[in-house]
Amino acid sequence: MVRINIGQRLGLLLASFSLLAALLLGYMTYTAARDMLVERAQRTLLDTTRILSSHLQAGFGQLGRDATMLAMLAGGLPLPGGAVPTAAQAQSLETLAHMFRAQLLARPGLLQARLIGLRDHGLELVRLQRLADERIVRVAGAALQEKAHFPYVYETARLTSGGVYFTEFGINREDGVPQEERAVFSVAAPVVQGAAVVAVVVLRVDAEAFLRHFGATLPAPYGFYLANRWGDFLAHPEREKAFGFDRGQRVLVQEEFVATAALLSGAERELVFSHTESPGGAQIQAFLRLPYGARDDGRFLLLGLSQSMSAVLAEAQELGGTIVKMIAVLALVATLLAAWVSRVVTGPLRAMVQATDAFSLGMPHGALPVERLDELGELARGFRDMEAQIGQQMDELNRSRDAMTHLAHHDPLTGLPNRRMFEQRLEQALDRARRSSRPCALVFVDLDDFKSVNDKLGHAVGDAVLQAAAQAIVGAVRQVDTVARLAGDEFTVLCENVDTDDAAQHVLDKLRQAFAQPLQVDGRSMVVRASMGISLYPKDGDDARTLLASADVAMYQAKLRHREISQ
Amino acid sequence: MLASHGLRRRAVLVGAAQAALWRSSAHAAVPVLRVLAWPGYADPDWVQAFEARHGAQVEVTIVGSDEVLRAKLADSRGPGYDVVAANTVELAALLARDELAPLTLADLPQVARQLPRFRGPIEGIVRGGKTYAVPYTYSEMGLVYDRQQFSAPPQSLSVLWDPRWRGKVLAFDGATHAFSLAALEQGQLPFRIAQDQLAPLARHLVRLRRNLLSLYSLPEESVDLFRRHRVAVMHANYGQQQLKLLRDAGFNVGYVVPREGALAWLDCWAVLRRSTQQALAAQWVNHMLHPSVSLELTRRQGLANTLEEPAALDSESLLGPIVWLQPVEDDAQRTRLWQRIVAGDRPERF
Repeated sequence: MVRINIGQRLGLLLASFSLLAALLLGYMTYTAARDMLVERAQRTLLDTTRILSSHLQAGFGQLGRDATMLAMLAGGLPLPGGAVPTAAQAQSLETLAHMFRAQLLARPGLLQARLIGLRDHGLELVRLQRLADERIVRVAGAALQEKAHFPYVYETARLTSGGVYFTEFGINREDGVPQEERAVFSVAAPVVQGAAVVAVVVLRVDAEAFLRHFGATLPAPYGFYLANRWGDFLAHPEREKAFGFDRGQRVLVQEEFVATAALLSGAERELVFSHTESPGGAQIQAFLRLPYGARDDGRFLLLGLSQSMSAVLAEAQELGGTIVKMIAVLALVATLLAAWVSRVVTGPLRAMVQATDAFSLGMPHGALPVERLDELGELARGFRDMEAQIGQQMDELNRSRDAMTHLAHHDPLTGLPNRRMFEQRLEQALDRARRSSRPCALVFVDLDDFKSVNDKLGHAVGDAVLQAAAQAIVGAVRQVDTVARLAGDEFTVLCENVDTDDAAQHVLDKLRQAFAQPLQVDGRSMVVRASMGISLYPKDGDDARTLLASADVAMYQAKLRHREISQ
Repeated sequence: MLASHGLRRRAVLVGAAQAALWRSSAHAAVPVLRVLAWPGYADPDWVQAFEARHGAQVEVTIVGSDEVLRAKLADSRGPGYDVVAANTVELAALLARDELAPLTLADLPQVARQLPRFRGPIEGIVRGGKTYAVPYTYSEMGLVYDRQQFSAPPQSLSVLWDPRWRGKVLAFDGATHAFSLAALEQGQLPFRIAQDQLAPLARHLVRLRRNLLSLYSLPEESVDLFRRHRVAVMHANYGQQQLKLLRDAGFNVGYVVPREGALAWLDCWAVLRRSTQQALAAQWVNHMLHPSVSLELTRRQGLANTLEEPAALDSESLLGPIVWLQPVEDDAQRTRLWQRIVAGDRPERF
């Protein structure tokens, strides 16, 4: 398993955080920008729709003025009042026919111009029409038809001079010619003579040409919608959806765009929204009510424009690309930063770890970052203090252990090795002697009459005597020899490498000399006698017990001799 | 028949989606009954009840127009349909092509609950003494009149021609029905107009036109005309649904089936001859006539059922027969003539 150290972990965490923050920021920027773009596009689209609406209104207004002008002209002429027109009346119809022809020539979008009398079931009096081959012909005689049941007659008849009536948009079937079956609407104006409406002037407009004229000014990606006040599409980017009602199959704007119901009901006058369910991909839609017909009859058309969302969001996509690049750079920076942080954090930590390792091995270590002011510095200082405290405690422990060891192996009064230590030393010395085949000597020293010293002069003096005796013995032997106090007034001396009897005798002599002089006890001289016995390895024994026993026996004999002498 | 279904057949898309939903749950092990119907004719709960009772799976396909219905039935791919809801004109055409299976009334006990008018032989769905379809719902084209202008309900279709109401009459802009209406008014066979009677009837329709305020196509249009002009009487192509629309708009209008009778479309259930499970299909037809379905159809869709007389057709309003639509002698010819009539040709041109 890969070991991930704390620095790497921290670095990774930091890098993740920065990356996450960058991603979040990038995403938010992107969505905000997108929303902004959509909002802006919606505003623009609505503005465009408003402009288009005012253009269309101007177009309708122009048509209305054309119809009114022709109606006014007709009103000034004598019009037929009976079955057979007078010559003057016939002449005025001719004049009007000329005017209508001129009008059709001047306005290519007009399909028909008519004068319809209100008598005789709305019989046409003058009818000029543009054929599919653009020829303009006058229809006359028996071909003239009765139109009273059309709204452009019965509605216009209710108007006063200057009023204009616009019919609903529909497919023209009046002519009974399939070529003429196209989307049309008509504009009609009353012809007033005296106070009465006697006829109407009706201009039939090619709806598609009329709308195309305004639609042509739109940039290509816009979709153009028009619906009547019941919601039936009159224009739709998918052509087959327009005038569905004419084929017995209604296609309604409020079904394709549910929000437009509010426009139809009059709750809203204009609307802009995003439509995601369209088959060609999401788009934004703007719709508004376009007043249609006379000012007071409340009729309207629903005018709409659409724009593909992908076109709107092209800029956002670009921004998205830039954001992705920025995030990549940020990620790189974050990684570098993370690596640096990893180093900064792990450096001191590693030093501490090394220091701990060295400390536990009792070895010296490098400097700790104690001067740092941060948590690492605190940690280092803590470590240093702890190290010092542990060192101090260790020293104390060692000292106390040494003292204990000393106590266990030495006689507290004289400071000489005690019996236990002496026995160890003796065993070791015998080992060495066996290996080197060099003899060693063991001397037993016992103070004479020590009991009486204790009894007569007290224990304190007794102790001082013992101390003085110990010093005397130590002073009489070589430094390498071991002097020990076994018990009471018994001392032993272990001398290694005593190769000859002479050398052994020399040791004894030296010791005897030490006791030949009075000893200095508490500042006064005092004569202290000692009996000594020696045993030699391997001559007197080859183990400690035998040697001790042998030396003891020799010492005892010496003591007996001293008594004999003193008695 | 262009717009005669306009009002009731709006929810086509919803229906199609439902049909797709049901189809996805179809299971291969149980028999599958394939139903072709109009929106609102076979609601999911009725279908589920049928499935539970007969242990069958039902696939409902919804159509929104006669044209689509014809195309679906003509499609030879797939297993085809077992049972179809269609009007008498379409069914007559299917019967003429021998595509319908005769029904045994013993299999359809619910038929006994139907009003007498639906139990008698109906032209177009009966042949050689055998019945090929069972009526389900209908809409008659009566007269709507303004109660403030009429002291008593008009009795006859001739009211439409009455000069007293000149400029106050509305008629529907539809060639086939217009000629049938004129023939009915003249006491002729509405769907079999003799060739030499076409011109006189056309002139008669010109006389009607001269008496009109206007023609209308959409039901909303007729409401608009009532609102703007003092309309006295209207031939209501959309029947009681149009009546409701006007009453909802606040008009005090009455409704009457005149003594000459009222044209009416009548949608029936029929079993197709190519169906391999005719017994199950007959069960379906019987199920559709059950009050829990038929009466509910009226409640949900506002369409008349065949078990109870609609409230609007009491004895005072039902003065004449209801004349179920049949294929006419020559639709194209009627259309050509009607276009000229509408355009305003004078009588001497016919």
